Amino acid sequence: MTLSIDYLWWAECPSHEEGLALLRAVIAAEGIDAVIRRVEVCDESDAQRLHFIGSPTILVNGQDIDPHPVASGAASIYALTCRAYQRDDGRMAPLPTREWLRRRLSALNTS
Amino acid sequence: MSRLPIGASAIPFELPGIDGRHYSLETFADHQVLGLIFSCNHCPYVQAWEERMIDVQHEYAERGVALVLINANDPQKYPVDSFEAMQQRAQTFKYPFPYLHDQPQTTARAYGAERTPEVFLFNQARELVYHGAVDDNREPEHVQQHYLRNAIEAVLANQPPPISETPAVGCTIKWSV
Repeated sequence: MTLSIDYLWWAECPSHEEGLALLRAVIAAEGIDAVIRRVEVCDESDAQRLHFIGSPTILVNGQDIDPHPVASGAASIYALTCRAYQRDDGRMAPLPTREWLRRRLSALNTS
Repeated sequence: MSRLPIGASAIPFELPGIDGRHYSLETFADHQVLGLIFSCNHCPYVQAWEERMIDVQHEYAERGVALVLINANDPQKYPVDSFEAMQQRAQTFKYPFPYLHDQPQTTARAYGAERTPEVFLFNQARELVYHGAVDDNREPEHVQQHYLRNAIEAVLANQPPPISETPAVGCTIKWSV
């Protein structure tokens, strides 16, 4: 079954291209059948409408790739902001690791 | 808004710190090097570089180097960047530097700061000698160029930094209007 992936990004957050390249690389390496749709989030109304919790946000078949998303700290849950991902070692970073992405995509691909 | 150019003089400020004191350029008059770093609580880029900023301050504290973090984000938009939250973060991570609140955002605007973290490093004459990122990679294990550390070493040796300007990589400052 083909995975439908929405890659939501905000231009003011600098890592969206790197994040997309990472996502594509993991999909290719794992041989996952997926279609990626890039969705630019341009303003606060977009953020609310798309339930955007930060850039980049990856939705797999409509489901957030992170089962435990980190709160952005903004007044609204949905906001134009950079997203934080918690690493396995507890560190926070603007992008997930390749290994974390691989695990999550594999899990969602078989669920 | 124009960014402070290399060689320009530090712009005076007076800002409250999380410790209840007020800080200005004069507070650091006895330090050979002064680094103002626009920062905040919520940004994952700050969080990625936070430990390295702390390490730099620890490493250079006894050599006359003062780093000062300034948070100018609008706490209405980002409650996690409020003064109280700043106090909590500084305590949790044992900040070895002052953490100042630029609530009117006038200092950030005066310096032309745009992102967090964004470094403005001054020599003893308080001329801007380095502006930009802490280093060249948010992943500590992949760093090749230690911009801030190299600039500090150069200033301490009365030399110009090998690289004086780099793009600051991080979240945008959250302006009130």
